Amino acid sequence: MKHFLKITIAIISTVVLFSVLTKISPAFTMIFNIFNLLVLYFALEEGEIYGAVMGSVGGLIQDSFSIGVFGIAGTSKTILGFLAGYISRRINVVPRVRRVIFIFVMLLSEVLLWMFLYSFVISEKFYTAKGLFFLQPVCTTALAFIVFPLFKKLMKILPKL
Amino acid sequence: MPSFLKKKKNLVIFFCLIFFQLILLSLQAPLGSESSLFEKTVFSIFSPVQNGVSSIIRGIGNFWKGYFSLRGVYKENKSIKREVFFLQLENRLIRGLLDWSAKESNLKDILKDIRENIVFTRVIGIDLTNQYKAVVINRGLFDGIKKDMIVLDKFGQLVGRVIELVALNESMVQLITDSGSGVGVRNQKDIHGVINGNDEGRCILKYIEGTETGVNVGDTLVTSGFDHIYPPGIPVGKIISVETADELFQTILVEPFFKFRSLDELAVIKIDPNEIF
Repeated sequence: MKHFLKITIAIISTVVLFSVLTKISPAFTMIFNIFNLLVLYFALEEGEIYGAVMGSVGGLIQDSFSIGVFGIAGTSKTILGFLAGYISRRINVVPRVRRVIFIFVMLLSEVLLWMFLYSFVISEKFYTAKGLFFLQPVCTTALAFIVFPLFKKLMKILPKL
Repeated sequence: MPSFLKKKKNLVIFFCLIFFQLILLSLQAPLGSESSLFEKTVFSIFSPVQNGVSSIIRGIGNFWKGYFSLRGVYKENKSIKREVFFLQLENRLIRGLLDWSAKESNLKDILKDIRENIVFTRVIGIDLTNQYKAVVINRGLFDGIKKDMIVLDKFGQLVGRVIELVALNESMVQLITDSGSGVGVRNQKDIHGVINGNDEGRCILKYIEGTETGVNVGDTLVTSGFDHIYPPGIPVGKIISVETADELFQTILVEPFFKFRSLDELAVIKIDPNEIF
């Protein structure tokens, strides 16, 4: 029950954050992928299964907010969540620099995988917002260092409520 | 569960999830951009959050404006703006109707109904993969919205059409800047063509022959009504470049009149254009 509540609150917080960013500027949806942060947070904190499950859920939410084939982001994020959780159990990603590199590499891999799946399934040129899209791994990595502590605080507060 | 599966429990769950996603992909692929029931359900669960956040941010913005403006003047201005919104749309639609069917005897009856059929709506979300493809509005089945209803901005300029009722109170609007959209248009010299979006905020006017000289930079395009989706006479955009290469058709770039940044307030026209024209 506690885990279910944690997951629900984290998902709702992510959708709230996503909606706020969209409302401030549509360009933010290009340079920040909030749903990837949700997946990475759970993968790093709880392991590969949580990562994969959150990847499935987060990806499907992202897909439902866009025109296109439902399941593309779901697939790429499930793989991201599982790999991030699996690798982080085998190498130490706690030191700050390693963590930055790890998050960046994971986000970059997800972007590349998503691009591959998108081109493969939709066979249509995808929109990069004049190259802004390629900044997504860098910008999302930077945002992770603001969002992860907030998630952590939220998860600590929850059991007390 | 066999022991080898127990040992690899995590991998089994992972592959089950991937398998589930692949099933979704294969079920969705034949539907194209149309949402499946499962996708609509996921959207319906989370769209109230999006709608709520949108309202809160708008509320904060309005409070901020209201606080710093003279309160009475702000309120009056707001109601005038709303009135202007409807008047502009009425005016645009009436002009379109007059241009097209001034001789129709039942014109008066049609005009009477127009105002009642304009639904004021707000944008609550955008397409995540490309902001120029679609937006989500806070009106749906409960407000009498149907597929293919046309959507205009507050100045009566064409924005797109409703492509899907994604939830009971939300609909998805395909923008004319989406490469999948097609609008029949004509210019002042009555040369007809079709515009498609280029997915980058502009449109491309197609099927204008290389020998055609009646299409120039600066020409205004309005809907022709030939597509039987958009009624005639609605302003669409302005031609910003014409290239005549050694090809059969010219390459013509069009800047839509609607501004993406001011897409907050929109109007859905509930009348089916085919019933009027």
